[in-house]
Amino acid sequence: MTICFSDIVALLSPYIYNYPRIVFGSDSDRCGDFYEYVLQRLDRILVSYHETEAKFVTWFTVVLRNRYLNFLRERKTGGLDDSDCDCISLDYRDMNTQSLHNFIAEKRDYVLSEKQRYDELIERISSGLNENQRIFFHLYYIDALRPEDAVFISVTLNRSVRVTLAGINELKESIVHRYKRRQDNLERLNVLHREIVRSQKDHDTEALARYREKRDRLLEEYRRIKIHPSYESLARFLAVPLGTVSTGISRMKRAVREILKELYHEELPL
Amino acid sequence: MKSCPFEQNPDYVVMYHDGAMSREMEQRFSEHLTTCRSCMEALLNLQKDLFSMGIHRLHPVPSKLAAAAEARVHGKGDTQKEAEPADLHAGRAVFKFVRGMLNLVENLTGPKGFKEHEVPGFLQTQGQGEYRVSPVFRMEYHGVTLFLSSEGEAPFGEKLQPEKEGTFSIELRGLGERSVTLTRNGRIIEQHAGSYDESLTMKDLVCGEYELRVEGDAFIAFRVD
Repeated sequence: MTICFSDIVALLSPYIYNYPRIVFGSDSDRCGDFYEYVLQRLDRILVSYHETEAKFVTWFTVVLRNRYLNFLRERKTGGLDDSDCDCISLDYRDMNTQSLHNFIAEKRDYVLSEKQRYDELIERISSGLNENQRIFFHLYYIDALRPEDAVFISVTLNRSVRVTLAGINELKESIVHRYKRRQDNLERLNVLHREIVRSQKDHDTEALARYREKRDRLLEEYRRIKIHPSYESLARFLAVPLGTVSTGISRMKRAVREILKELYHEELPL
Repeated sequence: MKSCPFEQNPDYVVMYHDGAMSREMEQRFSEHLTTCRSCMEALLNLQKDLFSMGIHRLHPVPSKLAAAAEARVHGKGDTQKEAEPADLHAGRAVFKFVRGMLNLVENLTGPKGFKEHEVPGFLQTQGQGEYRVSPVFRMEYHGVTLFLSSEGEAPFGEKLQPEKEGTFSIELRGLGERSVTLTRNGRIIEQHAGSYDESLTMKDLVCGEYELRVEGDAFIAFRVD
């Protein structure tokens, strides 16, 4: 069977088109622009592929990330885009009312300054925890995992990085349905965001207020979806009894609460 | 400042993620990951991206975009067919061994000349903490990919085969059922007909004038000094 270039394009198109939306939360306009950007270069991209034991989709996903970052850079330098974030903006969040989960478990790079803030906070918390607490902290707030945290888990548990990452993947697999719900909400937020922008342009204050209210409700729902691995999956990952996990998380939370109290001079809900 | 030798090449992270490295290389790269934040970040990003792409619905590409893409693909295909010159590989590539490493001195003319291509397993250490990547050269023609690399180097800087210094190897992929003939200084040194597993590798090649024929047609001529 011979596969020609147009067949390859047809096979890869949905993956390319959806990549910015799923991974970076981009809107459909940007997805379309990126899709065209990649298609213009697809023949050259595919030439750089060489067959190994690794899956093509793994290689292609790495390439798409690099290309997407180049695409953003080119747009920025070409004056096509002056934002430092992607299209969904969650940056209006009120620090005083949000829970720790909302503060650290959502580490998508919506706004660069927020990412830095997250990293700093996680660093301060990590450095205030003992070894056991830190392990529970990173595994429980799994979306906030940084490269150095993965190394820490790997070294502390005396496992290779690959085994550690495979375990982390399994923890995530166990909460796929929550990720899906959260992603659905993000998509709806994206649509609402576009409606808000449109209403602002049209000076339609009534519609604007309505959409903002909807967005706030949806964001509340979004915040309530907590992405934590189950105690059972953590017990499997750590090869310890369930009770140890329960105690460990409870102690970790207590320690984190203390650290946050010290930082913000008030109790934050966990 | 020491830069990461793996950073520019996504293959390392990809192969590590999929468990496609040899055991030794995997162990080495594992060790590297514990000290290199950028590689570890790339690996975590890859894991996140694959996870996200795997659990979400893919929306269909809007029909306007899809139609434009189709038009472009067909247009491109025709253009390429018309524009392709009869001899894409005019001339002869010249390689030279410098301190045990193969260097490309003169490339083929035309759009499909040799490109430097780094692959895992060709890394040399030079002094403490300093890396040098021994290049692998790659070219493609009519669906066949040729890799040309020097031998005598073991993965990650351990020089295990000094007796092989000054020799190189050729690996051909995508041959299908096509026969291959390799001549050095006008003499046939290797001839292979028919079926290969995935690739054909010809090792222990020394300096000389080479010509490679695939299914009787001239594929490439090059010289190694």
